[in-house]
Amino acid sequence: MKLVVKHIILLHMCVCFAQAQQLSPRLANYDITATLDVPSRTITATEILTWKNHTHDTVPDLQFHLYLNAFKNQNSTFFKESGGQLRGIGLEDTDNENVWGFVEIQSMKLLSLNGKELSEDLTRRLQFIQTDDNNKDDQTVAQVMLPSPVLPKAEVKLEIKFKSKLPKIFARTGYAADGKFFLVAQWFPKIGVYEAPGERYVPLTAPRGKWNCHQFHGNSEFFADFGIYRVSLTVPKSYVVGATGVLQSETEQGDTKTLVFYQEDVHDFAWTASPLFQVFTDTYASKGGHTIKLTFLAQPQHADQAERHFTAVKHTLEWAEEWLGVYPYSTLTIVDPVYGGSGAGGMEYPTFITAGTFWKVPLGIKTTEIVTVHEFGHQYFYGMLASNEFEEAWLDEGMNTWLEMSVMRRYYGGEAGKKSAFGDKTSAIDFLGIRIGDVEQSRAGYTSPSNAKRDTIVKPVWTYQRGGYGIFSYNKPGTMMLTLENILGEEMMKRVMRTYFERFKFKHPTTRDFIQTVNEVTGKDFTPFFSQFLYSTVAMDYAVQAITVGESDDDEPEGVSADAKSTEGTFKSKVVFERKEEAIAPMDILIKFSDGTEFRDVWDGVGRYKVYEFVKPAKAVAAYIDSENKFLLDVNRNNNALTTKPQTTGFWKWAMNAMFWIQNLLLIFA
Amino acid sequence: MIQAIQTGIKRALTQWQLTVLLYAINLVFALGLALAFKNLLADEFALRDVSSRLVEGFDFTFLSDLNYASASISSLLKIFNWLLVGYVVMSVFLSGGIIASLRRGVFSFPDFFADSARYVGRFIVLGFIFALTWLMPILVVVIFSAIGNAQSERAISEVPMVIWTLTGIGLAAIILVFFYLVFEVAKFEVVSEAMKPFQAFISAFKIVLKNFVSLFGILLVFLLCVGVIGLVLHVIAPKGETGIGVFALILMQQVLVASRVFLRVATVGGLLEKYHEYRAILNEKKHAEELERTKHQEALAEPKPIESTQPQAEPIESNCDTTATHQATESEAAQNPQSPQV
Repeated sequence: MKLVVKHIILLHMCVCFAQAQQLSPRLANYDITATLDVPSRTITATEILTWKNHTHDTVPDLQFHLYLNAFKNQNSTFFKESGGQLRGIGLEDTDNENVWGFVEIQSMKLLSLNGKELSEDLTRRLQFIQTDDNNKDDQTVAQVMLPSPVLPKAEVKLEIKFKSKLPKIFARTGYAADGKFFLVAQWFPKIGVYEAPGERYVPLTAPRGKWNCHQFHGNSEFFADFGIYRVSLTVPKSYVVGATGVLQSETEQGDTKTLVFYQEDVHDFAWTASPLFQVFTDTYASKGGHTIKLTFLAQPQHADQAERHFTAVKHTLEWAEEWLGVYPYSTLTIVDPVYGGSGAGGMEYPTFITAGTFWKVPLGIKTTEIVTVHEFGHQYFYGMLASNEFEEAWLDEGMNTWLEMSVMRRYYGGEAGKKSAFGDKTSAIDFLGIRIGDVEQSRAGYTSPSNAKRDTIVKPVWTYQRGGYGIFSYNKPGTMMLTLENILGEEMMKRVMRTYFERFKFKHPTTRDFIQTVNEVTGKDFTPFFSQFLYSTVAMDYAVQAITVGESDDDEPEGVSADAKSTEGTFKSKVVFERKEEAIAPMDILIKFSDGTEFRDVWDGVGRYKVYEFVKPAKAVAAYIDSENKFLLDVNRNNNALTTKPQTTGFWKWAMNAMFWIQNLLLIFA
Repeated sequence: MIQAIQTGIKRALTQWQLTVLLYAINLVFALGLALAFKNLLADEFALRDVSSRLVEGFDFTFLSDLNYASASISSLLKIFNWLLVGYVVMSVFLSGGIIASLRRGVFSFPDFFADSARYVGRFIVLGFIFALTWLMPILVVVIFSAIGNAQSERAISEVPMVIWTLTGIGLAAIILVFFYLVFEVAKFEVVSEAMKPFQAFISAFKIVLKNFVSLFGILLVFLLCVGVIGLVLHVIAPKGETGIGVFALILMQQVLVASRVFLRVATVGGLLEKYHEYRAILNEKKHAEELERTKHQEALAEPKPIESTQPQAEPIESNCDTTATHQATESEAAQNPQSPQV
């Protein structure tokens, strides 16, 4: 018993210690008191915002995201770009005004500025602005001119009274199940990020900094400064609540209850309320020495899947603490969205993620795990490495896809998955003879001829062609990161990623920061690699074009010469490698000879062709380019090897299997 | 039912040529496509060192990168579509021969093809009618899914949707089986009773409705046999990771396909037996009814003492009125069972 008490005290100290350290600059701090009115799907709230000007500028105005106004009508930029849908889920019943959402600032009062206590109403100074397009109907960004600027290193404190009408869920936030489920995100007036000269992409030579406060776009996610959130939520007593941060108190008043959540060093706050949830808890011992409390808010019909969710999170934690760094928070809440609210699923908020599963989904179909791993991974790529998701979505989605692939193949891809990316054939699907690895499926999203050269990775997300966001924010950069890992090797990649994490956690890293980190840690210049794959549309396809053996004098070998001739017991072998696409990278070359000897080289990959000629007593029998499958970015790996001896057993097997199924199909029609 | 099954198997065994013929046709069609597929793979990849990956089993990366050989693949898919159409036409064509042979009890190639040619036109019409009936199971699935959706909304859970949809699929399968049996029996009707397609379908519908359990039972027994054979072969099948292994795998697959063909012939034989049993009863009943009707007509035709002052009808008119009088009499008899039958 003593030991237990001792352990609890120690645990509590660890948690307190984990929370007490200031991890971020804490520029935007929120104290929100909110009440949910279920029948009207409305939240009435008061927000005390303290914003710190960390720059040397005097800042005359403040800019705010009013994300919920994206759901105000069909004229918002979000609606126009997305067509009123996200990830295939659309807003239905649009004639019903109850399905729409908005946030309305009822009053904005200046409480203090530059250290002086004030009480000035700013409401009438508020105006909607459009920072990205000229859509005057878009009300997702507001600006307020202050009576006097915020001085360098000074603070401004505002009291904002607002009302948020939640939309019917189709794009991350809102209500579902006739008000029995709320996922409340992007719900409060949220200050933009003021960037000083030299920060991110504001030139050091610029006379002053500027607000980075983009409108809400069809594809875009979010960008915000770190701070402290204290949020008081009043909801009906029967509703189970989960939220960002640690629950500090819970009190009941009549038919309602008030819960207070607190979290330091995060840049957003989301919560959920529903009377349907079944609550499951578990813990994980972090490498940071503290215990992380895991909570799974499950739909009743998914109660048997709590373990699957916890296991996925624990695997990800283990991997991420090894490859990146410690998860410093003491909680993580996983929300299982209600039936009809799947639009809220698969989303990340600090210490709070939404997953998505289905009743009795077989163990061999690992979508439940993939979603959970991916969303938890965002606690790193988004949560702590808070890059700008509007401008460089790949830094969170692409890197996180790499994390997801790494975790899935290590923990769900069997022994083969641990050895190589292409060894893993089971981490996504292993069901009824269909086997697909997570790496394979993610890579295939990019490599098809119609996708490979469609767009670049680094660009504002609202400028992608429709369908391009997934390919160029997730699939291609994820595959690129895995390719980088293969080039660098596991240990070097770990060093790169740990350095990147340690250096930029609780900051806003950019693509440039990442490239510099790679170059610095590896001591090599990887800029050409990233220039090609991040900033241009070029694709990669290297191939072995031909092996000829004999006394052919042809300059351009055209095929395999079956009747090789010998000259005094020696053979002239010629092997031609080809670069079929524009991307260039050094390639490992392997040529095998009939006497078992091997020739290895590295081709710089620059020319269109590389020809190797040998005169030796053995014939060249096989040639490989990138034989270790390092360059997963190579869009066609079926041409990376060539042999002189045809192998057809596999084709017979596939053809005969195909025949068997065709025969059975035909018999149905017989 | 057991007797029908036994007879079906007996007929399939005695007319083994049917199984061989059907299997050969099935094999030729499928082999044509499989060889085209194999040649496509071999032409493009025999020297590409991917065969070993394919021996191991399903390889998603190989398939996804096949996109770069898409022209060849799409031409193969076109061939497949035409092949399927050709096979369906061929199957319809052969149905007449199969049924007639099984009915006759003796197999001969000239008769087989003559019968196939004789019935093909009517069987194609029957096939179209059968295809139209597919709308019904589709509709059932759509309706059940819609109900499931509504139930799920109410229950706030996907479970009702899954259960309703699965139930709908189950019901749709039963409806499909029902109409499949109607299709089969309609073919029997065409061959045995020389009916026209639509008439045969209606008649078969009535027959299957009255004998669904036994007909479905016959089908189910044969399907279970296929299932058991498939399961056994699946358990003992080698992985096929070597040339010999692949060959053994192919052999087992072909054993299963041949079994399916044999059991398909046996099923038709069994159904035909059951049909004949029932048709015999029907015909007997019909015969009896006809006899009764003839007697009745004869009785009506006999001169009776006329008490009324009405002039006697002409013989021709009397003949014309016979049916009406007979019907009226039957109707009266039905209304009043005590009244003496004429």
